[in-house]
Amino acid sequence: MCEEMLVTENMSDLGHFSDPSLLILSSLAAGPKHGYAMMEDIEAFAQVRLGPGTLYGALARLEQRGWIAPLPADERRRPYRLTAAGAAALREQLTSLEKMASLGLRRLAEL
Amino acid sequence: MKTYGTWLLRLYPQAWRARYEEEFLALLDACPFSLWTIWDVCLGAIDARLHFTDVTGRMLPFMNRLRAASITVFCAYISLVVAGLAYGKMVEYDDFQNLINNDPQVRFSYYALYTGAIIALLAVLVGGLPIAWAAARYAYANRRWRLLSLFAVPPVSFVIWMGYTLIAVSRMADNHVPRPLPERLLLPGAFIGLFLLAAIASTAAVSIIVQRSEVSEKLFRFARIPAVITTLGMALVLVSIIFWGIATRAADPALFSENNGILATNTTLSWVGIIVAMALAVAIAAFALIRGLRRPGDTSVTPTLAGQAGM
Repeated sequence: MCEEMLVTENMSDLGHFSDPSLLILSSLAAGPKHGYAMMEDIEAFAQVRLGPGTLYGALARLEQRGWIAPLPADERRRPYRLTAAGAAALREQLTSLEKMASLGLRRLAEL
Repeated sequence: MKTYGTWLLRLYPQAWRARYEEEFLALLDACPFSLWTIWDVCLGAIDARLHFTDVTGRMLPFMNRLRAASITVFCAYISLVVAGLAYGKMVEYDDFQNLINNDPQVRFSYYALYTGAIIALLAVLVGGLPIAWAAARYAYANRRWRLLSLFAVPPVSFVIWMGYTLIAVSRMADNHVPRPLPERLLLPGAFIGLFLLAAIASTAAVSIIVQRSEVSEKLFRFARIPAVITTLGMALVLVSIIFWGIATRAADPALFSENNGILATNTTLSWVGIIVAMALAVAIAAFALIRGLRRPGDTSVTPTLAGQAGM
């Protein structure tokens, strides 16, 4: 499946893993990372500690969707990078979140 | 740390381990040991077993759904059979049999129940035997001896249970010897307990065989029709037992309110218990079917504001 087609898929299809997926994509937007580095990074910027099972559940889904890709293993640890489709999906999701946040804040200001 | 990680990894499906084992173990080695980590990995393993699809597409989600639906309908059917056997034991006494022979409504519901049971049994055999045969061939061809040995669980369980039954019957048959109360309770209690254990072990063994064998998708696709018929047969059994109870109560209220139920307990309570067990089995089978019969590509996810935002 080509990457352009994958961009159109919605993150809601990831179900329970949509939140961790968004965090992982955001973490990889700063550069390739292996699992433990992602966990540390996500904890630092989102104050969320992902468990190993949750992390790899989301990683497997993102890899299958073509939003992230594995790089050659560094000893036993394997880094992942964000693909173009993954970057587009992340941008779409963050823009959507931004719109929702702006709308919510405007409505709160009108209270 | 390494030992517990290796042990936890066994919970994941083989295809998942082939892809992620090394890096996942490296991550577990880096994570501090905690119950929360173990819990999270266990949840991840359940998720992988239910949803993992590798990059080669070997384990397609649709195939997984079909397989899960077949196994679930089979387990639900066995649960219904166990409840049905309890019902059969309850109505074997003369008072119930006389009512079945003399009251047309009771007789009708009783035979409708048997019709449903036979339909469900035949459908399970038609859908299940080709899958079991294919699984046995796969296990033999790939020298999966452990998997193959699981086929022995149902007959061995049955032989153990029958052996105990013969011993228990021979002891209970000698009514002239007074027995202490614990022994009088233990004999039938162990009879039921062993039967339930044998049923659970046999069902689990068959489910594991089907889960771990590479069986053609064509067979699972074919099994959908027998699975639907099995569920309809099960539903007929459930409805018939409900009508049997209502008809029996109308024909002989005393019989229905006395202690003529399972292990000489209240008849109404036994009847309600059997209905609840059967209703659960039918509901589980129906739910598995609905999930399994969805076409590939269908999703149950309804886009919501939160979903659109990826939350």
